[in-house]
Amino acid sequence: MHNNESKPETFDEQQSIQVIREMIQVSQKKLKNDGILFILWGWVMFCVYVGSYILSRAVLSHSLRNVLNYSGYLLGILALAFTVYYILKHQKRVQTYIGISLRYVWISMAVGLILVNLIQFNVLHKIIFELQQPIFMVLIAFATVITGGILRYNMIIIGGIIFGILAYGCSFLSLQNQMLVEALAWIIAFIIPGHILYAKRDK
Amino acid sequence: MFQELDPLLHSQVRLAIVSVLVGVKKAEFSFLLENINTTKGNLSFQLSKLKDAGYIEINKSFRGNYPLTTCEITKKGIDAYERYVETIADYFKKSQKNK
Repeated sequence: MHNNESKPETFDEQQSIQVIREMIQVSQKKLKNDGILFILWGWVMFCVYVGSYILSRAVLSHSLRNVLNYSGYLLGILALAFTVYYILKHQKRVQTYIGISLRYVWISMAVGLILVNLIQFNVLHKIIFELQQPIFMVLIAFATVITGGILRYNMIIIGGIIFGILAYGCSFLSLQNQMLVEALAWIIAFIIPGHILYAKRDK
Repeated sequence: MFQELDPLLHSQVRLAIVSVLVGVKKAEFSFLLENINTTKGNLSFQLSKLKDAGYIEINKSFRGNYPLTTCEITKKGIDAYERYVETIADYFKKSQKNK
C-alpha cells in the first residue's frame, strides 16, 4: 500500500471498500483473548472455595486454621498482583474500546462487591455470609455475561448465565454447601472457557 | 450526480489510517506501520496531513528511552470518515441502479 504524494493516485471506490474492509479486520484482530486471566481467577477462586469448604468441615488446630485462612488471602493478593502485571506487560500497541469497556465492567463489579458489604452492614448491622455469597455471585455473573457479550464468546455468556442460576440455587443452601456450588460455578464459567480460549489463542 | 469524495481521505494510506483509528481509541505508530504496510516516511507524511486537517491528534512521548508516537482520531475525523463511507455507499447504490 505504498503511496507517495508526488505520484498521481489511481484509487477507485472499489479499492476504498477493500481498504476499509482490511482495516476493520485489523481492528477486530485485537479482540482475541488468550483466556489467561479467566484460568488464573477460575483456579484461584476454585481453590479458595474448596479450601474454605474443607476448613469448615475438618477439625484443625487454631494455628493451622489461621495459616490456611491467610493462604487464601495471599492467593487472592498474588492473583491480583499477577493480573496487574499481566495487563501492564501485555499493553498492546493499540488501545481498543473493548479493552477499556472490559476494565470498566470488572472494576465496577469489584466496587459493587464492596458496596454490597457496606449496604448489608448498614441495614443489618452485620454481614450475613449466606446472603453475601449469592449476591456476590450475581454481580460476578452479570460481569461475566457482559464480558462474553463484548468479546462475542458464547461460552462465556453461557458460563455467566449458569453462574447466575447457581447463585439463585445457593440461596437455598447452607454457607458450607454454598462454597461447593460456588467452586463448581467457577469451573463452569471461568476455568472451562478459559482453557478453551487458551487452546484457541493465536500462537 | 455523485457527491465528491473527501480528497484527504481518498488516498489508500490515509483512508487505511483513519479506518484503523475509527475502530480503536489509540494506536501507536509502530502498530499502524505494521498493519498499513507502507514506508515509515510515507506514514509520517500522511499522518501529518491528517493532523493538519484536524482529523487526527498525534501525541509524542517516551516509553523508557524510546520515543513513542500515538495517534487518535478526532470528532472531525470521525465525521469526515462517516461522510466518506456514506458517499461510497451512495455511489455503489446508484451504480447498481444504473446497471
